[in-house]
Amino acid sequence: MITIEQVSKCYTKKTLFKKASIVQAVRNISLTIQEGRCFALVGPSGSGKSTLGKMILGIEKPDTGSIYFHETNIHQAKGEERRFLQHALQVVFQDCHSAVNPRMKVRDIIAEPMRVHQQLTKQQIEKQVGELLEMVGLNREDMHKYPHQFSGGQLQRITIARAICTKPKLIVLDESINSLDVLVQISILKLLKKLQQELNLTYFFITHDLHAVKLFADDVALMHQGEIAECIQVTELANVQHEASKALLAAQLPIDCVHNYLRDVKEHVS
Amino acid sequence: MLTVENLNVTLRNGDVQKHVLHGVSFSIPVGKIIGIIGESGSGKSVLCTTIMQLFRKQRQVTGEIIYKGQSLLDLPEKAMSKLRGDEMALIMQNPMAMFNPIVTIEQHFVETIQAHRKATKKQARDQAREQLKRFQLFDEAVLKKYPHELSGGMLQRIMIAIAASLNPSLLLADEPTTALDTTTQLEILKELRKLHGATGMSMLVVSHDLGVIANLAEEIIVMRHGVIVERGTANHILQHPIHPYSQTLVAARDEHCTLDELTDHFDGVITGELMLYDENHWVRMETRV
Amino acid sequence: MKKKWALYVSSVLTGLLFLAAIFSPWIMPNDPHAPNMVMKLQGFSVQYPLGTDHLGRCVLSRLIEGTRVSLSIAFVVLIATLTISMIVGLIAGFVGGWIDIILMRVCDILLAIPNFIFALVIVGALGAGMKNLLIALVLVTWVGFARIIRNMVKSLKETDYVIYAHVCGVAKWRIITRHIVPFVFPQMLLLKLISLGTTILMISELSFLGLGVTAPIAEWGMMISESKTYLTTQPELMLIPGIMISLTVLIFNAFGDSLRDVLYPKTT
Repeated sequence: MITIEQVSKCYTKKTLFKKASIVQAVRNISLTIQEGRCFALVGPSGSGKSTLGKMILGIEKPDTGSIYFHETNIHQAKGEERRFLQHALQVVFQDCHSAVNPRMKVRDIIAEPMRVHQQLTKQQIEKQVGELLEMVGLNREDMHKYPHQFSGGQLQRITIARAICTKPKLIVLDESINSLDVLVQISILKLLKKLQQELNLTYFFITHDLHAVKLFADDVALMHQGEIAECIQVTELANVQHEASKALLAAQLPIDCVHNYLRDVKEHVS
Repeated sequence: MLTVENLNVTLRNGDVQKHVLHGVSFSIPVGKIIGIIGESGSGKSVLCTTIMQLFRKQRQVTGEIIYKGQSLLDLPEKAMSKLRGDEMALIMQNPMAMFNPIVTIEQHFVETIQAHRKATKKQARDQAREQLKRFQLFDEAVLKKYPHELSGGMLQRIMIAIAASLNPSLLLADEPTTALDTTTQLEILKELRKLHGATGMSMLVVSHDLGVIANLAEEIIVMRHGVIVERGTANHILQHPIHPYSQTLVAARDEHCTLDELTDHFDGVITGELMLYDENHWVRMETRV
Repeated sequence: MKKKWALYVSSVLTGLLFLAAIFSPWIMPNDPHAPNMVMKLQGFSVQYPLGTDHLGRCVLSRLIEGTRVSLSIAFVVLIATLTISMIVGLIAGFVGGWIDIILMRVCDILLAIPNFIFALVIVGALGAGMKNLLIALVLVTWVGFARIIRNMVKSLKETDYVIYAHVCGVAKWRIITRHIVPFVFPQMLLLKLISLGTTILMISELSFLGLGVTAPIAEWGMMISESKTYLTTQPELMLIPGIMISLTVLIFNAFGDSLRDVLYPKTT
């Protein structure tokens, strides 16, 4: 569905007194995201994953290479094609509090993408927003409230409702569950899975949490310093080859390594 | 070493009052690492800052906090600030925000050391270099750098080094790895373990990440909405959690569960008293008549 | 608690000033313009509560008219500078690029000239009179605010919800009206209210030098200037308008400050 071909991007860091340093955020990446599946992009911070997400959405342009949605080049689309892409590609950000305008009512927040290309009456908007709120597990009456009246998890559900209102094909989840509590993370992942089945969505899941990837994703690409170290199915995660991937796996903290700790302590003491 | 008894804390912000801790009691024995696991709103950060007696004016505190036989709540501010840094140190969540951006790392060390010891600037600088060696930060150039020039992981290691430079007996760590990514997280946990092994200092680590707590703590306290839900050795809590809330937390990190099998919310209200369930294992349960 | 009381008191006083300005023709005891040489330089009396000046005009009436003059000029300046600085700041901040650089360099150059001297030069070139006074004040005050607005807009552009609106294809003008203006406008209004005192002070300063309002219109600064020669014999002719200026500036500053403290309290 999404084909990324040989994409690279670098940023120049300009400071007043030093020479400009060039940061190669993304190096020659090629990927294919299959329709109807969840594709995870994992890597430590600074590995370029957010940059790739932004390029898919069209926020940033790649220096070299192209990104295609089916046959359309995302960065060269104009007019009708551009409008179609704006509907088809959506995003859920990491921090739900800064992702919404705190002065807008929830109804207007969710309806914003809908209003771009259509003239809708107040009744039509309220009807659709009500349906969306119920789909994400909130109440219809919540549409008249303001963002500060909601918890983190609820607010993230609102941003998800906003993302699905244009009936998109692909949603980029940019570290969307990072800032939430563990139990809330699980409830959001469950909601996303349900929506995927109901609306036939494809997800591009950017994260550094391999545990969430194992629970939620189908395919995973492990990034390291701007390049794809490995691109495999989640079921094969145990058999990674690349050094960087192994380091990522080792960095995950399972909760049954109490025994390891005690062994470490004993070694130290003796 | 540190005993907290029946601690109740209410936050005051203008006219608004918020009761955040209810009847919290636990103790930190000498040389042990205690971990507190709780979600947001459980009051764990407030617990750390209350033990350090920070924000005294905005809080109403009842109960007892006894450190080495001394009651901290009755201690006047001057005596308390002597204790802080010298006997008790606190490292916090976001390392970038903990440093003054216009002051070099060296200055941070010197300031802390000179606040508690009689040392000239040169002596303080030498001590700083010693500390760096102790923590295997061999690059002395780091002393001359400013906080924004270093990564989050590096800053957190420096913060641990500064906190440890005065050899405190108790280290409080409030979400020490939350702002860092997974590979750096591992390094910081190793640092803390080494520090504990080398000095035997007691530690209180607070986190919402069960992985962090499981890798550090010998005893675990589970908190929710300002109340202790379960308390016991790490082994007990992680392998046989009794309270349904603890069970939900542990199951959420279980490697072998699928998404459908996991519960994603905990509806129960926390009621009952903390009762001794097993050796050194307390669970909040309804008293059975 | 203390903050709310400050707001109540200062808003009542500000309200009184505005009422005095609006209803000035009706509350004045005497005609502020008509000279009456028989009654010149009288002390306080029932008919002339604050005495008369060197032309026999009632001081109190002139004081009240001065309130109307100062406040109305300040108000017009506020609205004009609000409009100009919002437009410039929004364009510079939102569009960015060359327009931003050029506009900000213009602001930098204008800001380098001290406010008062700048106003002096303009009025000096255009001549005295209320209209030119207004032009000078507007030209001097819009610059600083434009820069603040531009910085606000620039930081708002980086917020997730503005980026999201871009991604969805929301039209640029709609992003400005829906996301940026509702945030910038109240803060700017507050800033301008706080600076009203400074504007009034400048009006009096320029009128004192004879470059502001022209006779016979009453203005506090001009009243001080006209009474210079009677400093030793009747100092109250200078003191009374001087106190009035200080009081008014104080009241406006207190109003702006207390409003800001209540609306945007500093968090611990």
